[in-house]
Amino acid sequence: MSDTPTNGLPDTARPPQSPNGDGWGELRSLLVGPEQTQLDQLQARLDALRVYPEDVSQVLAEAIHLRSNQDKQLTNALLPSVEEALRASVQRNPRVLVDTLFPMMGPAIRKAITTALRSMLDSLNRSLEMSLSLRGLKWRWEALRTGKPFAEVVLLHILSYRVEQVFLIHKETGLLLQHVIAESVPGQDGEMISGMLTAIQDFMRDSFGGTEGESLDTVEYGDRTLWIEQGPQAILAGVVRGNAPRELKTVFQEALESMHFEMREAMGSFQGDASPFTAIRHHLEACLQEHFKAEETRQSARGVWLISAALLLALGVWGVSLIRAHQAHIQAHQRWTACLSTLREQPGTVVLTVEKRHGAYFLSGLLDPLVQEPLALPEVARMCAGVDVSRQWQTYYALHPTFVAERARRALDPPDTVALRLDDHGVLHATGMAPYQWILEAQKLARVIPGITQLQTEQLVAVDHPEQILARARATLTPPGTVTLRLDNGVLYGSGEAPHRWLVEARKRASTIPGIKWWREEQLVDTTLKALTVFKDEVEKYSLRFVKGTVRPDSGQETVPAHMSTAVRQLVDAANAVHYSVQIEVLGHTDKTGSVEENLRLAQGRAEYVIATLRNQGLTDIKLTAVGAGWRQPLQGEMTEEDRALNRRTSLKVILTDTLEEKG
Amino acid sequence: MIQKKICMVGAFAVGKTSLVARFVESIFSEKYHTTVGVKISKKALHVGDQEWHLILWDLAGEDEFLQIRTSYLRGSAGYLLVVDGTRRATLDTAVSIQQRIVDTVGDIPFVVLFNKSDLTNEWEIANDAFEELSHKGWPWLKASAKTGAGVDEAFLTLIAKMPEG
Repeated sequence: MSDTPTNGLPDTARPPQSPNGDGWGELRSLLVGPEQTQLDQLQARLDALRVYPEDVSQVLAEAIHLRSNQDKQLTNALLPSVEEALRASVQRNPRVLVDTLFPMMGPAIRKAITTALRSMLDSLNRSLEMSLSLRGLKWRWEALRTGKPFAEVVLLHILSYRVEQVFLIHKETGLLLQHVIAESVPGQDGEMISGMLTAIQDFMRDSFGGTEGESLDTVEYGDRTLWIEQGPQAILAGVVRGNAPRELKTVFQEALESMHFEMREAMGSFQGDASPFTAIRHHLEACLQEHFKAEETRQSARGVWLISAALLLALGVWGVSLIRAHQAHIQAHQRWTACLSTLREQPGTVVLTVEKRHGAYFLSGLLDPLVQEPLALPEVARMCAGVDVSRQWQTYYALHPTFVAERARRALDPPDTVALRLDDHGVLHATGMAPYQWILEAQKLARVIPGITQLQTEQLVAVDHPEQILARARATLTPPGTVTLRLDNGVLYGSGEAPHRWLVEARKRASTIPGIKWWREEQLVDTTLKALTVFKDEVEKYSLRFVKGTVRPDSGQETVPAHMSTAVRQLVDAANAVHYSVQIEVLGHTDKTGSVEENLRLAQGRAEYVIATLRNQGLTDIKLTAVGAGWRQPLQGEMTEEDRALNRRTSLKVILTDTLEEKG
Repeated sequence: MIQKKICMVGAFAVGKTSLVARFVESIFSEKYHTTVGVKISKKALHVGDQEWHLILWDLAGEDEFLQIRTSYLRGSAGYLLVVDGTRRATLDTAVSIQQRIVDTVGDIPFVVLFNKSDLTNEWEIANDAFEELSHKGWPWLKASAKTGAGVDEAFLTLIAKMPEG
């Protein structure tokens, strides 16, 4: 055989050689050798029944983690050891722990002080609030009425709930193991209460039956409730004031469980010495929970403040509205007073009574007919704006001078030429001009006009009196002394002599004189026209005789044209002086002999001859008209040749025209 | 400080309440007897340097109409079996009660207290009765709620018979 193993197994895995070299043994070693070795090692460990630190160290951390997540039992179990270790550490060398805690002590102390101060401040705030508020006074009254201390009454009202006392009672003996009381709660003898409580439980059980497991767990009395939690060896009983949440039961249960866990042995062997249970006092103290109605109180206080604020606001609004109403009332009254005052100042208005009915004003009074509705007057309307005024007026006649004068003016209706003035004695003075008839009627009317004592008309001119009219006519026409004027029933007659110019003016103006209907001048002689007529007659005397059948002047007629021309010139000059124009018709005449046509032509020729002669004499500025009259206007009957010679002639006809009259 | 639950039992009107009223402190009124059937009181004593608080369960007295609630004795460290020395029948009642206590809670320390020891003229308990008790191993004492004689001794005797701590 070769020294190298042929089966590939290492030497260590090679099964031991059978002492006797048995082949089966060798075969078994080859098949199960390694497993056998492991089984042998396990057997050895089971035989030793030891827990090896190495094994525990593998699972310790995980085990602690798992158990810590389950409950607090591990903490409770370790607590004594840790406390003892700490105690030992402090005894051996306090500095180690002091150095370790040093960084934490400052903040911890500060926090504790802050908490204490805040608590004190809260308490102080609460006390102040309770003392000063309306509710505080109410509670003080309640304290006085019930005889309870004020603090207790306050606590009763502001507490939501409070665990006042907690008893840990040994179940078997009913003896007190631990007892904690909340601050300021009056404590009774816990030992006796524990006994009585146990007795009552026994009494309940004896009286009403029930198994060992059944027990009293709640006793309610007034606002207090006794919560009882049953443990295997101890009872935890808490006196709760107010309405505690169910969660508090859980706190009680957990505390009881913790205490059982920590003091199981001590509870089991309890013989009356409760001192070991001081160590679990903190569990009971943890049950002394309290909850104030802080939020509710604040909310309540806030509610009270809100209600108070709302009331104050409402009161304020009411007050403001009252003040405004009052101010409005005052303003309305002031407006009314001003309105009334203005109204009373109005002439022709008398306010007799004033009343106020349902916020509206009612007045009655007297009103002059000359006054329109006074409240419609701009001044009054402005002062009375917004004032509700009902009124009732009765007519009266105001004696104020303005009203008397106006009343007189309306009643008398004087013409524009009359001025009226009222003096202080009620005398009405009329001045100016007026129809006589008006004056007579005015004197009658004036007597019945209120306020007028007399109508004075001495300074009034009656424009329609005959003498007045005549005087007025004289004044207007200024007739010359040769003229006499006479009035008869509205017709003005002129007589005597007057120049043409005056007559023209008188004709124009006479009819415009008041009181004169017509102008008559038949009896007046126009002196101007009379003078012109002399010149006219002189001109019309001239006649130029002609040779028969010719347009040649007869013998002896040579000087006639010159004299004729002089007379015409004198007439023209006189006429121009009085604004008369002169027109001369030169008439040509024939005798009866000869034909008519020849005579007309001959007559026309003779007239034109004279005109030409006069023109030659310098009369170029006169209107001269040639008219062939023929034989129709003979100077005389033609009985003889001499008669015929006299008819063969020319004659002049003067026409005078008033140039001013034509223009006018 | 050691607490012990002690019951005071006996026939009706043997003077338990008088003993309690004069020598122990209580915060509960007498009416508990007629309502709950027990009234809790406390007797503080010093024995050596040890302070003892005896929580006294003063059970309503038993008569022909009312039996004591022996369940109240559960957890008791001992009891005082009170007898009216002027009424012989109360001793019989006490014996009866004791038997029922044993039946209910077992053998626990007790002391027989003959109350009203000051009323010697009316005493009805003959000496042979005491001898019989002594013979049975029952500790007994005479006491007077009126004079206070024997009261503390009774409690001290009971304490002496109880296991400490």
